[in-house]
Amino acid sequence: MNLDALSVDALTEIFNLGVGQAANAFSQIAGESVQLTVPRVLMLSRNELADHLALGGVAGFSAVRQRFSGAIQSEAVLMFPADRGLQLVRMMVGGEVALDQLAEMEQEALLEIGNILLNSVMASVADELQAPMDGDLPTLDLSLVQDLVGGRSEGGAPVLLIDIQFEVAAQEVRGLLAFLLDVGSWGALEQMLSHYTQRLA
Amino acid sequence: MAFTLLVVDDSRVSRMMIKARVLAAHPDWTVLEAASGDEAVPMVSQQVVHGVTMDVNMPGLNGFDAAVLIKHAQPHLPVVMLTANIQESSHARAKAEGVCFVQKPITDASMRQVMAYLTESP
Repeated sequence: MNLDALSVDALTEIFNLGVGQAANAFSQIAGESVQLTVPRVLMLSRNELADHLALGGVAGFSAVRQRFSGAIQSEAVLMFPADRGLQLVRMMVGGEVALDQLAEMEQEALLEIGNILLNSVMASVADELQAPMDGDLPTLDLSLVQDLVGGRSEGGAPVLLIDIQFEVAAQEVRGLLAFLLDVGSWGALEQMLSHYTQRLA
Repeated sequence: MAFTLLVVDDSRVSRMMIKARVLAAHPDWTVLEAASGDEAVPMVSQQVVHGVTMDVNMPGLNGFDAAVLIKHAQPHLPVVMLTANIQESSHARAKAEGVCFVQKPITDASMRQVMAYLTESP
């Protein structure tokens, strides 16, 4: 199963619109400018996916994961350096909370940040594809991303990965937004991308 | 005017951020909190509430379903849905149910929108 070049272009553009939404939300959270890269669309095996994420230097990352279901199923992941969690939280709540209280709230604040960023992207993608999607509750995974990928392993079936890197330069925080689309949804995805490109033509 | 706001959000951090901004603008308001839709629905019948902010993605009864129950019980109570996930399909549903949407994240600007809606509702 392979997406043709036009479909990959369409998928990149659709997620790029979502990135605009996420960048806006993220800069409001951070209170400063946030750089997000143009999405990359990659078709990978599970093993390649683990290597890909490891090459990106994300071995020591924590993740907020959220499943979205609808005409296509996807798992959305916000990855950030495990040692920068508290910094992300401080960006969001500013000086409103004492440091000891902040540490206590770190996990739920990270979930909320993940929820906002992942939903910003997915709401835009759902509208562009004209395919409403419902999100499950986000979960926080403090284990290594390698484990996360391994945990998803189901035989040798390839996955479609759309990844977007972000950087809050002033805070020296870098991370990744990744969207894994389920193989079973590819037929539906191809059809939606075809409708999308026809609407543009 | 004495105004009682019910803040419904499963995230304690979000409730805290909403409450801080509301009380900064309206120190005389009373802010009640509920951590789920299930908790919120009976609260609006048991006490006087003048407005509600509602998260959408929550465990148990989600924000939309909770808002529908609240609006059916009290059609004139202003309810603002606070979410990052505003799809066109959600807009249609919100319009049908008579609730308003404001996009997360919670900032001074988004909370000004929320408070304007709550105080300007008839």
